[in-house]
Amino acid sequence: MIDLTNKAVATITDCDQEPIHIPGSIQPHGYLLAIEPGSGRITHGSANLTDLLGVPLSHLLGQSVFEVLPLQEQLLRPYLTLKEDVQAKTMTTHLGSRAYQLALHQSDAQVVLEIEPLADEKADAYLLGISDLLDLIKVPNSLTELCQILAEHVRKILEYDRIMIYRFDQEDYTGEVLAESLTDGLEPYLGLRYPAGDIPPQARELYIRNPLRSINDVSYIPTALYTLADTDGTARQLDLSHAYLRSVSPIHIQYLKNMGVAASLSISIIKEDKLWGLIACHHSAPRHISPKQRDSAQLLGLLLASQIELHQRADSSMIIQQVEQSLNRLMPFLQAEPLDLPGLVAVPDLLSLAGASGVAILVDGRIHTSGQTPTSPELRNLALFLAEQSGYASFSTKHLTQVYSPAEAYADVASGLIYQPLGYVTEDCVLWFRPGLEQTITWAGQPKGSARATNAHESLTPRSSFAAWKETVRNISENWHPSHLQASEHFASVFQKQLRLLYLQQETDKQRNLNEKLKAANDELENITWISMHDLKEPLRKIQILASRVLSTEAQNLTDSLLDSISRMQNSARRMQNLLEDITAYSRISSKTDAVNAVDLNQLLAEVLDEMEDEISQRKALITYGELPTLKGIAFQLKQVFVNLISNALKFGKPDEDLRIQIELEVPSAEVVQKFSIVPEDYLTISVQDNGIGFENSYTDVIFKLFQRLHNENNGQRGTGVGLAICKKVMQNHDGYIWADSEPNQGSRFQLIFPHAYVLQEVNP
Amino acid sequence: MLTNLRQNPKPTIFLVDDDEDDRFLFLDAIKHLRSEIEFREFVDGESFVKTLSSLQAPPDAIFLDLNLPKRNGIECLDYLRQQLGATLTKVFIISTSSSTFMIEKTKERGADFYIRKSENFANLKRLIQIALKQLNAPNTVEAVPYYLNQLVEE
Repeated sequence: MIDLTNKAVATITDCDQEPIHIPGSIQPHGYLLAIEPGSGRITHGSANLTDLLGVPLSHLLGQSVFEVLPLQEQLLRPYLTLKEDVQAKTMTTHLGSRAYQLALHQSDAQVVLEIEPLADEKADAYLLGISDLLDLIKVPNSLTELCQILAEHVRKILEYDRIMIYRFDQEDYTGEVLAESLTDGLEPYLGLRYPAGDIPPQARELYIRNPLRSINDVSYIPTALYTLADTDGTARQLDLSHAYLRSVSPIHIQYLKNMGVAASLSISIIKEDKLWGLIACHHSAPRHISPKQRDSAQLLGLLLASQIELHQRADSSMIIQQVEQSLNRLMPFLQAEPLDLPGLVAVPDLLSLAGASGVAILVDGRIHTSGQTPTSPELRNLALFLAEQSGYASFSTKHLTQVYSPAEAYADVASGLIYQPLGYVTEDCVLWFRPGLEQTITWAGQPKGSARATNAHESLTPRSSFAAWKETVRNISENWHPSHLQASEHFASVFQKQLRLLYLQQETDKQRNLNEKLKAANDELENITWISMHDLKEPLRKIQILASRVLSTEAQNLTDSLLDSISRMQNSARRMQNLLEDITAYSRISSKTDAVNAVDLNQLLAEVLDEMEDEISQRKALITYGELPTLKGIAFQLKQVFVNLISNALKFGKPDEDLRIQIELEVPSAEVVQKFSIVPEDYLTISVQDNGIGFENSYTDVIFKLFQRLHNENNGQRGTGVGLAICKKVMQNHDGYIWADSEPNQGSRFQLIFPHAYVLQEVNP
Repeated sequence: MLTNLRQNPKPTIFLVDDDEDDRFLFLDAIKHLRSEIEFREFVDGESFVKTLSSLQAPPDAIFLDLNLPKRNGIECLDYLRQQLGATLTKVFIISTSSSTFMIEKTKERGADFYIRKSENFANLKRLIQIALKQLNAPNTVEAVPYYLNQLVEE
């Protein structure tokens, strides 16, 4: 048999970790058993069961409860099946001559049975009537009033010295006494504030799970729980979270003793799964209450919980109305185009929708403020901090310095904060501020560590002074009302949408602007090209004519080397002139403003050959061609393509071989199909093939670039490297492509690839 | 050609061109061809028009650049055709442009011949030589094209 009493000495530093739900002991005014459902085997028992049943505890453990309490078998049996968990259940019974209350609840795999002697009902006991309940629902005009009336009722029912309605601040969990009913002569605690540490988080958690706790006598000596060792020699603790009799923390006992309390009872007020507050009941002497009293008090707790929402809504209806009006007045500003941020921020409704005294809008690195706010650098840092800390989630506080210490510097303007981020990437956000109020908090005893150590070796004890202790703070603002938070969120979401729209529109405008600029630049470039061509040609002409004048009239007066130099200058000037003319031709092609007509390529080619007849016959070239289609195109441009290709072929023929040029209609080659990713059926090729000197196939891309030349021409003259670039441009203007393949000394083959869509008249098969 | 020149032993020739180099080259070329010439140069349309209006006898030939400051060549052409009436004065347009548009336009406005400014001094001399041949010649004597450069191999 193992004593489960949790002997770890609780110290104040580990108060937060104290395992208060498994104390391993109970208060001695009742008895506790844990039973295995099904078998009815008793697994745990309190030491005082011996007194109740007159049997040593060692005999009880491992026994069936039905054998121990044979008369209660019928009563208990339905709750000790294996089928389902037991809902908390109370019933009364007699053991011997005394009446007892039996309370059953589930704890893990076991069912816990608590046995409490029933106190005798007093004849004059106050009983809560239906009319009382109705009054509680109908009469109070405010939450505070309800709490006050309720406290009076609870005191009448329980006959405790002091009943407090205690409310937790939902942000910092400090507690405040909202209403109080007390026996004459006691010091009122009304309005006092209790540090959050007085009721640590795990206690608050327990209060949610077990809404009623009582300590009948703070001076009680806990009764140990015993269990049989498992087969491996260990003992299993019993979770007493839901047990009325659960022994409470020695620290809590000390706390109560320090307050001069001998018996206490507390009922949790739970709203939306959160611990809203407590009905805390204190008595200066040990006190046992009947289950009826307990139930009545608990009923009042539930009633309070149900009425909170109602009263809060009534209290806030004014605020809600104001906030909605503000929002409505703001919406037109949000929809205005262009969005005027300085104007928007200056609208007073932006402040009033959150009941704030300052607001800042941070968008695109710009800060717009209104009312009382921190400085721009402070705002920037704050926004950065909030974005990082919150992960771009909205956030609000009444005590900014608690999460962000640099805010101490501007606590007088910004202790209260609502943060609404605008998007998930930038620090863009809207911030509302409230000043820190110089306010006096009346603490129930000195806070800042709810317990004190007198010296290092002594175990920590809770504070003993509950004398009202006033503290002046200036870095806490008024609480944000839920309506303010909602309105700010609503505003931010609409604002964010507008910003996104605006951003898209700005992008569109930017694009349009760029396009206009591009067009203007192109026009100007064309203009410049034309002007500069003309102005560049003039000085060149002068150089040439002056050089030719010297050569023709002064030749006899000059040395040969001087004449040679002048002649070279003249050649260079001519070359430059050719370049300028070709560039003019190229830029003319680029402008793509020429008329599109039906162009019979057969006729066009005939014209070209006619015009080039001298050169062709001089080169002794044989040109053959098949029938070509009629295309939709720009005649002079297409003509230029054939002129350029044929004159290229004439220039780069083999010196010792007759030149042959063949022009044919074909389908695009596989290489071309792959290179330009085209559907071969949609295109046709006109190939221009020669038997000239050719070129390395690796240059096939290069030759179409402006000013790219591979060879010097046979006669030593240099081309300008514009001809094939013009051809490429022309093909592009016709939505087509040009391609060349060649090998040195194997001739070249140019493909002009036109889309079928441009064909007006097919070649007859 | 000799006949023509003998009839007019010292022809008066006006040159209207703002380009100093071109004036120099023109004068140089014409001197190589013939020294007995009454030659006057004008650097803009305005001064040319003024001189023309106060003149007792019209010149034998006017060589008129198109691209002129103050009054451009076309304006000068219009003015002098109106001023000179049906005199025998020959008007030669000289220009860097060889655009068909300009050639046609000047012909319509009453110019007699069109010369594109050459890159070659020998060609320039040839063109002036051809031009001088046309002085006092009845328009119908020889089939000389309007665009004189067509007669010169370039």
